[in-house]
Amino acid sequence: MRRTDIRGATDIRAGRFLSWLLLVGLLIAVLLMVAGAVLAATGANGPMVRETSLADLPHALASLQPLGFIILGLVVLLATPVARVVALLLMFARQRSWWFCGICSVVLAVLALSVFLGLRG
Amino acid sequence: MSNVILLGVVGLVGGTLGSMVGLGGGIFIIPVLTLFLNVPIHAAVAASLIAVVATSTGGCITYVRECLANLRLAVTMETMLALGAMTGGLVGVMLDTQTLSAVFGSVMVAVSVYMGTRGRVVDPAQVVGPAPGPFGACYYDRSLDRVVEYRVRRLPLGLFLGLVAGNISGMLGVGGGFITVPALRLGMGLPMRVAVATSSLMLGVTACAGALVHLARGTVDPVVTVPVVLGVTVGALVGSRLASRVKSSVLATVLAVVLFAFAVQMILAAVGIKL
Repeated sequence: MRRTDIRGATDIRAGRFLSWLLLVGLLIAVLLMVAGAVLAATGANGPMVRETSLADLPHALASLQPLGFIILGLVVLLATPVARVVALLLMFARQRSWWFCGICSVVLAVLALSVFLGLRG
Repeated sequence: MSNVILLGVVGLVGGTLGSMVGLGGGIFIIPVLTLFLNVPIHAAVAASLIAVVATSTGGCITYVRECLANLRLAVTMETMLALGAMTGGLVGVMLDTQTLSAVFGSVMVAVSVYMGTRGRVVDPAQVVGPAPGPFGACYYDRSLDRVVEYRVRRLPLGLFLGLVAGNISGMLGVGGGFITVPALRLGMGLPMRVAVATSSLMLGVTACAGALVHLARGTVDPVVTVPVVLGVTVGALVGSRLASRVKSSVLATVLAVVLFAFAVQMILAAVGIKL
């Protein structure tokens, strides 16, 4: 006998989906960072800068700079746990567990506030 | 180029050791980067936070599939952890290098003492039977070949410790697993395997909140961060395979001694004494 938790099969399916989500997010992030590192090592599209922020992403991506791939990889990596919370929110909504839906929303709000305060500072 | 390889090796070792003893790896990565590779501490903190997200994500692929992490408890504690990490991240970027190094060294002393003594801590009695309440859960234990049921106790205490762990994580760039694992195990009565898996799951969101502040503020150095993150990702996968072959108590003791030495060195460096 093997179960996710006391609630049974629904959570087993949720666990499998979350596992897949984390794997895909990590793989995409690693591939993007490796691509950026290889481009930087070959010296393609200009020198590497040492400090970077989210604001640099659109320009770096538009000009296919190594930095663009690297920032995008970092964004995908950091977005993976966020996507996991969103997936949990949807799972709890499907189970009509509104209390946990609210908790997931609070976590997402705090993460959004982190970006806002970081950009503002 | 040689520095990039060294950074990757640091990440590899940090990810391997971290995943073997249930930590994010930041507690090892930051002192090595700052003491031996002359990386500024703010860049080291940012790189470490992103590395912790990678360690957590890589480790939790298995933990979530194996149904070990308590999803409801994790997301509930993440409210406090993320809040703490966000405020810690904002405070961390405002502190000067000496203060941050001194605070980090002091936390490392506490971590090394915890790691050196945790093998002798007596575990609370296993809760077996019905698992009431919104957080009650069960999992299949391979070693026992049966389903273990447990209940969650003292949630307010866990939430408070989560806030503290999140704050330290955001400020210092470590995962905070050295607080959340004992909090879940000893404070809230979870089985050890569930405590490690749930803590690992939570640390991804905690480190993410702190890392987003650094990324948005432009304190992430890609030349340092990318090799460390790639090394950590491989290390986390290697460590999870090695964990069952190495006696964890021996590993924890060795790591405790190494961390204590790093801690002393960082505190001395913060007051201007170089060894």
